[in-house]
Amino acid sequence: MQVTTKRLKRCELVKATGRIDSNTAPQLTKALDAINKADCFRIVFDMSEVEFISSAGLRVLINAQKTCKRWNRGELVLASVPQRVHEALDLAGFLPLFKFYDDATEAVGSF
Amino acid sequence: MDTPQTRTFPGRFDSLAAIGEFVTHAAEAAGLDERAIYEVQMAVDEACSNIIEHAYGGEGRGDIECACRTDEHALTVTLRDHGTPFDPTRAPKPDLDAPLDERQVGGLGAYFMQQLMDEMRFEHTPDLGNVLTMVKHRGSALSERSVAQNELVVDARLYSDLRRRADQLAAVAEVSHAVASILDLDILLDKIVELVQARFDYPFVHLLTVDPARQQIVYRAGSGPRGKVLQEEGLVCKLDDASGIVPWVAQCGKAVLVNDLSRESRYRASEFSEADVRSELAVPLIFGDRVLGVLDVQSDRRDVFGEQDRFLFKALADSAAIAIRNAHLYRSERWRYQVAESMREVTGLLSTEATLDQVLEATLAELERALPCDVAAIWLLRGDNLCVSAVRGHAPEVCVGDFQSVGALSSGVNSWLVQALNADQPIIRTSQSPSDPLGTAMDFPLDYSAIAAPLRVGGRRLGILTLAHHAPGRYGDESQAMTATFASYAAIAIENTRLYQETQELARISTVMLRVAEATRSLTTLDQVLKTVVQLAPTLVNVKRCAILLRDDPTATFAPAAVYGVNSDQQDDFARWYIAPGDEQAFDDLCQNKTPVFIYDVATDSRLSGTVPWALGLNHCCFCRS
Repeated sequence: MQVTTKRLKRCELVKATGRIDSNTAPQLTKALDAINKADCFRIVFDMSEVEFISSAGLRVLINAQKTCKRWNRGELVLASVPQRVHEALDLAGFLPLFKFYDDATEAVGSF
Repeated sequence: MDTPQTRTFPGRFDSLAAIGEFVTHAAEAAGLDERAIYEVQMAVDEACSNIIEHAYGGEGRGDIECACRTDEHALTVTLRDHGTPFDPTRAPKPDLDAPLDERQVGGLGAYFMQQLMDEMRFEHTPDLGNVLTMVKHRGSALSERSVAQNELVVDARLYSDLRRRADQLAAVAEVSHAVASILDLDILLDKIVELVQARFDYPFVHLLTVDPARQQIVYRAGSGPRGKVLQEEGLVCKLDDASGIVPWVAQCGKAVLVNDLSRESRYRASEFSEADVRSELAVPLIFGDRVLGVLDVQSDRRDVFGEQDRFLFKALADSAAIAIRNAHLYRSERWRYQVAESMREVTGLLSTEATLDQVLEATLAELERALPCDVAAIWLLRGDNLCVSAVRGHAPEVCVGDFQSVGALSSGVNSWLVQALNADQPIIRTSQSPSDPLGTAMDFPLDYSAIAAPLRVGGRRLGILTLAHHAPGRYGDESQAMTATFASYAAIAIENTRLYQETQELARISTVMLRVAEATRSLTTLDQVLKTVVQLAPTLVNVKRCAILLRDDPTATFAPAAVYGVNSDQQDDFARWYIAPGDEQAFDDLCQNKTPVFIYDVATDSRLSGTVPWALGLNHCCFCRS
């Protein structure tokens, strides 16, 4: 898996490519933590290139959401979520906890 | 098919991608669909993560053996490890509805495995270690499987319902099929009622059609013996009836579903309702935006109709509406065919050597087949009188004699006929129009229907063609066009006959003239010429006898010259017939006026008094001066 982050005017755009499983989840955690450390809590996670996500990956997302939403300082929103990934999020009962956007541009515009 | 594949991976997280690839290949080879493949990959990934994390307590402490086996029903994945026994099948279900802050991040993996696979077993034995077996059935992605599970749970209860629904859908299909295969409307409507009753098991089913012309709803088919009786009686109710569910449906074109008739204000115990009806569902049969009829289903129990029935019966009603429409089209198509046949028949007669009477008879006969009529007649104009030339009627008392004495056109009873005679198009009788002779003779009620078409050739009035029917409103645009066509056929036939007679006459005259001319040229003496003339003249004007008297100029006396068509005694009489001026008034007139003199009755006309014409047997005379 590869993670790229990009600082934008009003938020941070994170993009992951490949598998997010127990092996690669720590990498994603690290990237998100780094953003939070820089006092940025508005994050768009572009999932268009995510091939696979396991419960370990979902755990990263829920933890990041908890951190971002604390004291109403921001939010982690999901963009371009592939169908299978969306089904996994659904199975985990995560759909009410995240906002979903059809593409990253739209998600960035939401902030 | 039984193809086990086994591979061992080091118990590290970086093996997960390779394990994922391995099971994905196996799942693809097993023919699972894309979604099921993904689900197997997820479940195996979770299982292996658990083994590394919980059984081995960390990475690099043991191997994971992964075996995939495919048979005809399923893909079976077996994972084996040698760590501490950890049974994911017993893991509690995480709270999936908790708010964000209270969401636990553990336990999801085991939950996923349980959800994504169809079967899951965990065994621990000292020599084999931990064995986790997971099965994914073919064609059972998550959503389909959950439907299947639901079905299992409620199967017993739903089975009969589904069965019934399937039967009912089959009935809808059967009706659609019947619609496509039965063209006779009555048979079809009976079939629809029969199917609805048999498949839906509602005791009372009625089918009614709307007759927009008469503003009536007509009972067409019904279930049981009662339905048959009503059908035969031809029960009707008024379309604009203010009460009753069926008229309401027919007027508004909307379905009515009542599960408790005792609380329905529109309900009225009508003629075709059984006494103990409790529920009723009435759906309109609509084609385009016209209500063609009503399908009415009743039950003796309360609360038997569901919303689904409304949809099913709407589907049925749509089919029935198409059927009725088809049947109407078929009927009118047949009618058109019949009309075309009739016209061909009449035109065929025109070109053969049929007599005028035959053509007129045939015209009426064909019209009678194509249009509703009790009596039909063709009237021809003779001078100022209209006379019946042909008549046809269902009623036995009708005969030509009844209509012979029509009288002059100016009399009041015939003003409608006169109007028709002068019209350009056939005219249709309104209830305000005076009766025509046909209607009067047949003793029809005042509002009977009649249509009259003028017979014309090149603007010349020849007569009229009339049809009459005892019921009101039977003739419309279609009839108008048709009678016009048949009237023009009749007119052509009449004109043809007249032209034929005229031509015959002309030919005859020409022949005689030719003979006279030939005679006068070849004969030499006056006597011979006169003889030939008296011989030929009778054929020319169609008389029996002919005589020539020559006037002797000095004495102004007429002397007998030649005679034809008399016996020898009469010939002697003729030879003595000398007429001096003043003898006979007729001859004096002839000399004076130099115009032919006609005497229609020798016995009474005083202008001819002599006994000779009497002796010659002359009744009518014509004297011409030459």
